[in-house]
This record gives sequence, structure tokens and C-alpha cells, in this order.
Amino acid sequence: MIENTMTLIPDYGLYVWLCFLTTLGLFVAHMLQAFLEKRNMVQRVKQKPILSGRTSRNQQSSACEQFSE
Amino acid sequence: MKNWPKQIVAWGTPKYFYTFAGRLLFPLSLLFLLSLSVGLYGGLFIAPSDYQQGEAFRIIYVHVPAAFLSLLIYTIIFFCSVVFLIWRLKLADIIAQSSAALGASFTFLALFTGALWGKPMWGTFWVWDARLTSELILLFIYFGYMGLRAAIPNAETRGKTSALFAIVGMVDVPIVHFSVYWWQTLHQGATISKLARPSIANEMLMPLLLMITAFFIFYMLMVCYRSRTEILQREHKAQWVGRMLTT
Repeated sequence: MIENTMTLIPDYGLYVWLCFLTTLGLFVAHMLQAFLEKRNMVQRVKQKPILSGRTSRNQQSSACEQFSE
Repeated sequence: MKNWPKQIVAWGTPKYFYTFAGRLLFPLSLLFLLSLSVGLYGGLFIAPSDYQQGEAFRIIYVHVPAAFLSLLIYTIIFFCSVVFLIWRLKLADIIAQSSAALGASFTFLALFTGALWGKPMWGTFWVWDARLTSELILLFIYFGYMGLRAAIPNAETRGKTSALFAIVGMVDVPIVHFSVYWWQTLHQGATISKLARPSIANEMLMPLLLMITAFFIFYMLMVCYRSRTEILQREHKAQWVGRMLTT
């Protein structure tokens, strides 16, 4: 079974396959990290109590940063 | 169309971008999977082997897209930094922040795959060649940018300082690109140029273009995803976030 599968993989050498596998691994790692970060952030935001007396800036969600001078 | 400046500013709000990026996730994922699978199939099974380099030339299908994206992403970070410094557009800072880790990863990938390609072609993994060295410096610039962002807790200082750092670091991007023309290097010149005919056969070129497209779509997909997370963190006190997450 393993021998049959191995014959399907072209013999391009170790370096070629290492490059392609590293690339795919990097893609998977980035997607996994992004997914976990998003999930954790949603959980954190949901757990936080809703604050009363928000500023108008928070309610409006402005496009530009308004730093205090 | 009287209110077009207001409209543009409205598009730049985190709330609008959060919704817009959310809608893009599914089509971008589909496009990424499609272009990656067709590009990989073309690069690994359809493209013929090179008459000089043999099968090792197939590394081009990950090396060139990674190197291209490493420069492109830094250029995007540069433009976002300029926009943030001039107009204080929060979204520009968010996109720059979300892009940095991806840019660093692609730079590392370009160096790693380049080293593995260099061994069979040049007989060595590494030479202190102008192209390789300037690309390595780009990786350090990415690390510096990310480190700077992580080290400054104050949002105002973090935004301004990292934007300035990114603008100064931009000087390395043209050096990486033109290094093969300015200095005698071991690294070859551009394979694909806008002004000249590509120095590569069509059956080898098509998978390469598809792989570049796949890498770019992956970048857009990850920026949309990571920016949404960053927006949630920055805007968690806003009412619309609470509404969005409860519905």
C-alpha cells in the first residue's frame, strides 16, 4: 500500500518537497493562528460586562484615531 | 455624489470594514483554494523540467511568489503608515499591523526556499550576495517593526512610532528589487518583468502566475481575518460590537 502510494509521488528530490511542504505548513499555521485568535477574542469580548456611560466616540465608531492631546 | 469625501471616510470606519471583510472571507477562501490547487498541479505535474536545473527549478513556484509578496506587503505597510500619519485613519494602522506577521513569514519563506534552491544550483545554501543580504535585512526590518509594536503599550505612541519605523524601513525595498542590477550578484535577474517578455516558457509561466495569485489571495484573506480580530479588540466597548456578537 505504502509502496503504491510512493510510486505516485514524483522523485523531485528532498529539497523541492521540503519547500512545498514548508509553504503549505506556513499557510496552515497562519490560518490556525488567525482562527484561534478570533475565537479567543470573541469569547473575551462576550465575557466583558457592558459598560454604561459610553463616550460618543465609542458609540459612533469613528474612522480616525482621536488621541488626547 | 456631493458627499463623497464623507462616504470614503465612512468606508474607512472599523464597523464598515468589519462587515465588508466578513463578506469577503468565503469568496476569498474559495478563490485561494482554487488558485492554489491548480497552481500546485501545474507546477508539480504539468510544467516540464528545466533543461539546466532539472526538477530543482520547481522551487520557483514557491520561492518567487514568497519573495514577491515579501516586497509587496512591506510596500502596503508603508502606504498604510503614510495614510495613518497624515489622516489618522485607524483602519490603515490595523491593516499595517495585520500585514506584518504575514510579510515576515513570506520573507522567511523566500530566504528558506532560496537557500534550498541555492544548494543544488550554486553549491551552497548561503552567500553574502546583494540580493540575499538585502532580503535578510528586510526580514530583520519586519522583526523590528513587530517588536516595536509589541513593546509600546500606548496606542498613540505605538501607531506613530511604528509608522515612522515602517517609512524609514521602506528604503530597503528598492534595494532588494534593484540589487541584481546595481551589483554583480550570483542571484539571477527578474524572470517576469512588466516591460520585457518573460524569460520563461509559457507552460512554466502559467503555474507561476497562478501561484503568485494564490499567495496574494491568501494574504488578503488573512488580512481580512486578522483585521476583524484587531477591530474587535480595539472597539470592544462600542455598541455595534456587542450587537454584532449577540445577534
